[in-house]
Amino acid sequence: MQQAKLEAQKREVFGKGAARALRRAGQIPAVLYGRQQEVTPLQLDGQRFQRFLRSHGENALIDLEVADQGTENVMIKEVQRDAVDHHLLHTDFMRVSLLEPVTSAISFTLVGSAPGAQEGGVLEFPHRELAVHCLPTLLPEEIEIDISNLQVNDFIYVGDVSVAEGIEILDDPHTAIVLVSPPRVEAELEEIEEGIEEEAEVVGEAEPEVISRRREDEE
Amino acid sequence: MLMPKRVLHRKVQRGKRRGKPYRGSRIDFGEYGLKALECGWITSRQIEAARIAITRHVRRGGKVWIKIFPHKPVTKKPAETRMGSGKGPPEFWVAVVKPGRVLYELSGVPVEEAKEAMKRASHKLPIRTKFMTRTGE
Repeated sequence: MQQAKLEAQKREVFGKGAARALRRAGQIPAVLYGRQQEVTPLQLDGQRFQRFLRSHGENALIDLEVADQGTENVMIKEVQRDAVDHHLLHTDFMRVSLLEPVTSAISFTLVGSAPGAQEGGVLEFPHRELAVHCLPTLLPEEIEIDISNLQVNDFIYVGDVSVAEGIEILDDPHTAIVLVSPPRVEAELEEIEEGIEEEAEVVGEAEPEVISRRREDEE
Repeated sequence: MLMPKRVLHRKVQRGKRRGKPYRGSRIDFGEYGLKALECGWITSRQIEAARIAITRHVRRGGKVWIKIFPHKPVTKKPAETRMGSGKGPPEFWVAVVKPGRVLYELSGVPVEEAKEAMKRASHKLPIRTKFMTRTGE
């Protein structure tokens, strides 16, 4: 993985009021920690960091240049975003050693088109990321999974994923990550809808069991 | 319709709806989502109506996830009753929703179809919502 470069400044102001003022000024509050060194509050340019995330993702190995403090090898530990508009709120950077393995969640992309999905099946991937353990320099940006042979009712398990040498996948090898489920037939859809409507009529007037009352009865 | 199987208390106080959700503001399972832009109470009937609107539009192929659950009972006094004499009986169940909460998720359909399905679902809900995709958020 190519090491990306990012610039930051030391932050002198703290607290939510100061953080909000920083965000209004186009800066993002951040913090740098790890490797038993002191915690350093930082701030960085919001737009630049947004562009950085778009081009490098959240798993990049970064050369973080802190003004007046030199350059450090870091990785992004957490990116906090606003719940509604998804704007950046805060970022955690963690110092890493290039000689010690790290654990990171890497997203995977599907390559090719599944014949099962073209026949009407639904392509599902219940998991979107795989936990990998390797040296920071070996961390892949994403893991590619070939689905061009996937028929209806076929699965791809964690154990089927091949990664480069030196990278270990920590997830259970028997976990299904991609599958093509069979399409629902018309009658099945009608059955589901009717079933729910009937259930609604029955449940409509019922009341759930009260746990505290049951305990009193038992005593 | 959705309602809890067991509850700790039959009636609860109305509570506040301030703030934003700490969880449930990202797409976890599907490709597309419907995000709340306002706070509000969504009744189990509304949740069900919106779900049916989505499934009827996408028919086969799509998979729908409901990300909210009506945990809260709402009581109501019977009509033409004098005030007092205690709290009324539970009438319906609501999910407390705050801005940013993902209400439904959908996958397995093209983006245009998903947009239309979510639009139909939003017409059944009492709050403003927006369509979102996993990649664009």
